[in-house]
Amino acid sequence: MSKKIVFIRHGKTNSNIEHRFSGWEEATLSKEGIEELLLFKETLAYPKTDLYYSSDLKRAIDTFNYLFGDDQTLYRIEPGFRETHFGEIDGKTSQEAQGIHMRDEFLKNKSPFGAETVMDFSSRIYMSLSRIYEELTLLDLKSATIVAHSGTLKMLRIILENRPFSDYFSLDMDNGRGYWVEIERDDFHRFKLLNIGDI
Amino acid sequence: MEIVLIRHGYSTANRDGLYSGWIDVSLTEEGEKELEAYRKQYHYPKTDRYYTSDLKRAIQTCHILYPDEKIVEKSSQLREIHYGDLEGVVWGERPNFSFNEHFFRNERVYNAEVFTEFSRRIYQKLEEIVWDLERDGLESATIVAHAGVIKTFLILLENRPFSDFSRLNAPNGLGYRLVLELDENKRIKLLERHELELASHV
Repeated sequence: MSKKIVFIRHGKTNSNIEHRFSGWEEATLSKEGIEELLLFKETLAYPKTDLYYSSDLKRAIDTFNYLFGDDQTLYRIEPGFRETHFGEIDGKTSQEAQGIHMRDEFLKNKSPFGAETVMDFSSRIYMSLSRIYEELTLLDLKSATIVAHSGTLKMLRIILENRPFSDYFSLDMDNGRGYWVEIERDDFHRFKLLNIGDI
Repeated sequence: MEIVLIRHGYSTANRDGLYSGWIDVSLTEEGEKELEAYRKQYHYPKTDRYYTSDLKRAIQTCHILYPDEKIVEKSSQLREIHYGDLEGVVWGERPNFSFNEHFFRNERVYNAEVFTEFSRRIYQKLEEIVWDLERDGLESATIVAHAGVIKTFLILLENRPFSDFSRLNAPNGLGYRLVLELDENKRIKLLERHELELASHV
């Protein structure tokens, strides 16, 4: 039996506006970001799901509350869905982190400045997705929404679609939006992507 | 716990310089003799269980190195990278083409398997093997498989740059002894890695 998983990126934060690397650093939703979420709530067709999950960072939990808080509660907070840990440059602007070629290093599975490597990151989020899939199976439910981060959403998409790693830097993942997937698992517990679409 | 990773012996595809992933080639006579010699020369630690890929070259290798042991599972999940349309093609025919370059960018070429598919396939099997050991109160297993499998395990377990793939050593018939434990989330944590020791040193 397949499951439908909806992935939503948190709303725009002050840190997004200032173009900071925000990984595990907490950031606050901006006034503009909140207004946008309230507008999206009225205008976008977020699929209704059986369960709702969020990364444990405040910007994701707040986004859940603005979008779905009226009639849903969070089933569980899943820290495994956090953004990439950017190490020493976490919270810095790209200008402050000048000379750091995060992109090249990341794609080579290297770890500049104590940042998480692409393999660390992807196995962490893949594991969290497996855990949620198992929870849905145990509860005999069919669907879940996960509110998380741009890196998390892009990497999961790369893994599920087996896309080139360089898509990490070219895929669009707008605040407050996202995509849904229909997945099932084979006998080896490997995910098979049946369907994918944007919100 | 201990996992011993062994690469199959010298195959006909190794001899002929072919891309050999899922094509089911045999060991060469030379390869068989080399394994017989290694069996005396090196200390292959005895383990509680023996696993192989389901390809002939791995199974033959296991029979020669461990004639008294029973293989508990011949798993298709432990096969080499699937090279797609390159299977059986002579490497030298494409002098300016590097499969690994595309593989580690996760780009699909010649309908071959991509890194995310391959690494998930083999790592899930490794986890299953280790979890089964723990469940059954056992301590060790040997896995006879392929160069791509062994090197990718090391990249994942040691979190190495992808570029180490071409630098890591996985000679035919030899391998590594890994000491590992499971963390509280049942994830594998590598504690030590050793090359096989010479029998005279044990």
